[in-house]
Amino acid sequence: MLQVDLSVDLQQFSSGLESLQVEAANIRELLEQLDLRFPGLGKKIEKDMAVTINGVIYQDTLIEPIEDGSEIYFIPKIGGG
Amino acid sequence: MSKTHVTTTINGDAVEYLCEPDQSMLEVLRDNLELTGTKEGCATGDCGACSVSLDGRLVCSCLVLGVEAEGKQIETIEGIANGSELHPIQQKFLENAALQCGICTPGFIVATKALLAKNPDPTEEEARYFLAGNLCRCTGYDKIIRAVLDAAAEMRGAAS
Amino acid sequence: MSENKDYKWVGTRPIRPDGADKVTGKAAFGADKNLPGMLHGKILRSPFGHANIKSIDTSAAKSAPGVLAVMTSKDLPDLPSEMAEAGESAVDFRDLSQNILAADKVLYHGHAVAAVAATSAKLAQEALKLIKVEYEELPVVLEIEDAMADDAPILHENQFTSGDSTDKPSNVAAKMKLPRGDIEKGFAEADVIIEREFTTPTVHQGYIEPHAVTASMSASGHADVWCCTQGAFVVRAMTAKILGMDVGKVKVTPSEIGGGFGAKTTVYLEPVAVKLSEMSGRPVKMVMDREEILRATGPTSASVIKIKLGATNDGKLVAAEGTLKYGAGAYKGSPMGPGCMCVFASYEIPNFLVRGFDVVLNKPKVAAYRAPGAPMAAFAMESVMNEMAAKLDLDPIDFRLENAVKEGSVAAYGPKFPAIGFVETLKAAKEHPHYSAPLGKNQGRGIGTGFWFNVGMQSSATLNVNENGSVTLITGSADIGGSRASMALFAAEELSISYDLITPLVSNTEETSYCDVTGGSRTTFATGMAVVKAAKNLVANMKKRAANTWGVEVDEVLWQDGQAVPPFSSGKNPMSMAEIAASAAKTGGPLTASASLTAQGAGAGFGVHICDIEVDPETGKTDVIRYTAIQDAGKAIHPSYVEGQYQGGAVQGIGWALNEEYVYNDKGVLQNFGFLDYRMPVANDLPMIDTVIVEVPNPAHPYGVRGVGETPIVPPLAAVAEAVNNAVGVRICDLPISPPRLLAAIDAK
Repeated sequence: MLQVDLSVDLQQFSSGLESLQVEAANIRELLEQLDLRFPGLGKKIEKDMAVTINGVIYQDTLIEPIEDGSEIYFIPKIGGG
Repeated sequence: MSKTHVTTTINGDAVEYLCEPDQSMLEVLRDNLELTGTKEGCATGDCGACSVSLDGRLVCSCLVLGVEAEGKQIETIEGIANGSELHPIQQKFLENAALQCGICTPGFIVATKALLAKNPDPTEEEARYFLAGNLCRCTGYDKIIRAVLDAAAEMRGAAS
Repeated sequence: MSENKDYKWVGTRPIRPDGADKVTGKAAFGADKNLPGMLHGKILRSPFGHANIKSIDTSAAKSAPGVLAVMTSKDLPDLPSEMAEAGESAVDFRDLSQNILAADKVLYHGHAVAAVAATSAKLAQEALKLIKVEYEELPVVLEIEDAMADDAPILHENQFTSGDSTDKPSNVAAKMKLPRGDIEKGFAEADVIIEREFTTPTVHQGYIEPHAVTASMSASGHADVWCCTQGAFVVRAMTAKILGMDVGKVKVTPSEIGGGFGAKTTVYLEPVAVKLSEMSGRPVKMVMDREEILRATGPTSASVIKIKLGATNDGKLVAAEGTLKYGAGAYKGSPMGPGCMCVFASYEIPNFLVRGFDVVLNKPKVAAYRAPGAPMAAFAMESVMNEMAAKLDLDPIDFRLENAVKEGSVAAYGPKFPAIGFVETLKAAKEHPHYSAPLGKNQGRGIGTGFWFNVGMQSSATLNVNENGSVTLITGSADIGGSRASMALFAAEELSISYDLITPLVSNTEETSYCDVTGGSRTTFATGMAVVKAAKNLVANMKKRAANTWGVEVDEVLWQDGQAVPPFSSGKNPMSMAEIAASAAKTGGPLTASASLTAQGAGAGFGVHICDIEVDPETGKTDVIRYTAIQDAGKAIHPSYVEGQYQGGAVQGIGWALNEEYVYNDKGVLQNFGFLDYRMPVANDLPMIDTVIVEVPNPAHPYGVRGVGETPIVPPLAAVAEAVNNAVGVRICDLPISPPRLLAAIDAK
């Protein structure tokens, strides 16, 4: 199980639910599971957000494996100068 | 507008060109003569990227007219090295990593040569004031000033 | 701290491979490209800060001497509003297209309206005067708070605040909220609360090289584009999209680039030059002048930021509230997001609330500038941190150490930090002799700290081994500050051959694999990662070739000192890379290796700057007299160019603090549109900029690299302001700390 925490901006998809547990082995599965549970959430994350797995930021990847028990958080994609 | 015929010397070469009366020396160098080592940063004399030497005097070539070169000696960045051997100023800029993007570098090297011709042993402050007309946005000037002082020391050593 | 691995090449300071061309004038920058038969393109720009375009008549210009093409937005496809990835960050292509050539409205003074290509620049300029544009002038709005007011002139009638359920159009394009804990409870626990508002002006990146492009459209519909850019592939994507072309038919060749700092991650001229070339059948060159650059490109956001901070008497932060308003310029997309995520990122604060606002104004659309959004946020937060330390009678570094984030801390923007070096960087600052050096009359010292995420994104690298064992290293990452040297150092280290045997190139979009922009402090981190991966592939290949030559198992072969070493039992002699290369034809053909990746795990960068200034109490002029920039690099690959990033970023920050600002009149016309009045720091404004490279390795990179380019611009604003406060006892919350402003504040004391 993965521990997923949602930022305030994403809680509009989850009717205010702040955190949930999801079974997934990689980022693609994680987003699919979220989209099943809260339609639109997975797609919103894939389009606009980066995924953090135990604090490490993963941006623009679906294939990254996720270890069981990981803590997941989503942040806006980062650019830079 | 009819063009003016100019006979001049650039980096030791006898050069003739035709230019519009209102063309700047910078435009003549870059557009007519394809000497693109001299850079345009502002065309208003504020950045020093187009620095050249005119009869031994450091000028912004964007503030000089092409016709003013008649009978004069011009030195540009292309004339600083001795063939394939870098000038000590050029070598010290490289050794000190005194350039990041490199767009201001030709102007700084031409200006530094003018400084060291006048004052072979400048203090840091003298170097900073002399080069205040040359803008660099990448380096914060630290490594440029070190390269200038390093080159001055090297050239004094070679001269003695 | 650093692993102190024994590297032969990484961490050394060789001369950069492109250096000789750059000190002799041979290096070709954006404006140095000319083609036979080339035309010159010029842009007609809006004389108003805000107006409807009623009509544009180009007929007289079209028949003017020497003119071969005239275009307006009508010659561009009408794109739907669509957010799309364009390399570094999402961009709305409709906005991008209308920023390049205005459609129904001009939104800032200098907004492009039409373009002309003629046989000379002078004739093109003359023809611009013949284009008749009928405008209906509208009221301008230049200040963030004014634009947010209920009765403000609206820039975009179809823009509604994202996330708000309202049918009233607004200049607030988006809002953001970042909460933690309970701030009311937090502030109730505080012994000391400080609340202040800060403003920063619009400032420009100030690269010395003007935007320049030469484009040639062939009869077969292929576009060739030469330009100065931080990302050739992004120029390709944007140009193709704006012109409705297939990306495969646009080739972008990056010239050397004369500075960018984020601003050359977008396009202004490129699609226009391609279209003019298509219309005229001739190559077209376009170069901006400095006035156009300042009026119509780049800058970064002005900001209004309010911070309320609560701490206990023993120096623990308990609550914070931040309201961050960023001006986006004419179209949505200020760095509000990263600003909000950065503002409290350096500290452990149990209760906070951050609110952000992205506000459009009648100013040029902002472009990225080195750690976008972070310097303004840090100016506000670090200034309050300095004031809080003073109120609590704590050393400002000790106060920060008490609250600093470390490995395992939950960042204000959500995730837990992996290994980071903020504490190590603070300690290095405290131990630096500068921190305890005595000060004279009218002198003061201040510190500021800075945080930036850094990014990974996509990179590729190819290594081709030449027949003598030397290597050509090809990437598509623009070299904006010496990255060729870093790429060559990685390859030399991995292949264990001499740095001089490697020729690193930056290639065009058709001759190298995809690379995202040089931006986000990512090139040494991410493209370096691709180089390391390609080099490991190459070594594996060369070991296989040697094993086949010797008839031994490949896993018995070692790679040492640039040669394949056979097992002792084989009785064979080692094969050098030159020997393996010379026999490549017989062992499987040319030796080449490539790697492409989306780099993950970019390491956060933390910096601490110490600044000493002296104020002339007669004039209010502030001089920086000593400066030290300390930052965690993870691992410095070429330390000279890491130091250069620290120094250059610090000085841009000093300019932001003391001199630089856009000055508009009430019609929205920029008054200081040249380098004389837009006053960037010059050599005699500054002392040497001392640097300390801290190395806390990034566990996600094979050499421990973090990005270094952006963090250095974050700390200086607050460091300078605090130094001024400590010298003359006035706290300036509105930048720049210009002589008249400081003098007025001193007089009012």
